[in-house]
Amino acid sequence: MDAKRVKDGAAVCLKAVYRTPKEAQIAKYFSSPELLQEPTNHSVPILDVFQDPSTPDFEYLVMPLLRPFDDPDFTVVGEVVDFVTQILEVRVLNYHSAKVGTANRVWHLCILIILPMGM
Amino acid sequence: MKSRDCAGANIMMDARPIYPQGWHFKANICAPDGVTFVTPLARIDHPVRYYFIDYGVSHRFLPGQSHFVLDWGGRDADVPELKKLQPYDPFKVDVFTVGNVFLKDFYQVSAQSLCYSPCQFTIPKKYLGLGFLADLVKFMMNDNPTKRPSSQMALEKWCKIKAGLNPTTARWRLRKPDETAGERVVLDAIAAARQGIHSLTHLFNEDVCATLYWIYTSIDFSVLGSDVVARLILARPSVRFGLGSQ
Repeated sequence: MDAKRVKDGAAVCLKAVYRTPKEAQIAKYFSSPELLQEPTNHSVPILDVFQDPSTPDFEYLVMPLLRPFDDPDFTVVGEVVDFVTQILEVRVLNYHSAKVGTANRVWHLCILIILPMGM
Repeated sequence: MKSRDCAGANIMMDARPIYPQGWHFKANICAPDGVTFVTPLARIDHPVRYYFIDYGVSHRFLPGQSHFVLDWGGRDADVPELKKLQPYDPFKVDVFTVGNVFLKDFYQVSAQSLCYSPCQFTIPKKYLGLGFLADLVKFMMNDNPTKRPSSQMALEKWCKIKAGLNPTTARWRLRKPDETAGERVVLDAIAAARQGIHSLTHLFNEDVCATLYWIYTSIDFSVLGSDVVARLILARPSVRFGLGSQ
């Protein structure tokens, strides 16, 4: 669902996820200040995480309001080239993490093994 | 409504550069007020950033840990190794899935047809002019995960392909196969005019560009046809000489 951040009026999106440690933990890992600086990190920044006592099985991730990558349509070749580059360069981050991460911080992520929204 | 596969549905963009005034969450062709129609700016001039948004079925591996997993796997129904319940390498699944995103969004050819008829790659279905992606997609969608490249290899191949592209093609319009001849002429002409204006902005000061923009936008392109406009664009060096001598 959409929402507005009170402090600056920014449009944000809320996503409810099961409180299994995995998803929120991985999302927050990629939103760490260190990794937010990484240009090849294309994980959606998690602005906040909160719980609602009335739905204890869920927690809510606050993300920027985004659009599907193909809406509006691509119009020129260069836009497709940029898209392909951005999507493939994210692999460098994973590769990089694998090489330099410490034992308890290395995450190999299969970030595209994903459920469609709503499932 | 757009038809996209489940993996593509989880790739989103921060569209604020092309919708500086924002958009409505549901009626997303409208401004945040939900009633005012807004036209997006061009991504090529206002680059956007793409994001992956879902980690619901991601895996974490520690160093030295086998990265083969056994579960219901990804939700891309085209991944060959996920059709059997056996341990699989999720990294290789990623490579296939990303290739499939490119295939479906830019070619719209089913993976099934890919398996039996690789020559399909020579006939892009959604957009024309993206033939340079064919080798990459075919490379990434190898049916055999052990022969499929790693993500790093896919990136390296893409870097080579990209290095071989002529920079002037960046602003070539993505044509759709179902355009009528009339639509094609008009759209080509408009795109060529835009390309020309963009090129000229790097050559002249703003006043001259404003004048040229007025000239371009005043031309009835549907009468001139794309070849005439193309000749106008190709004539740019002489135009520069003429203006410079004034």
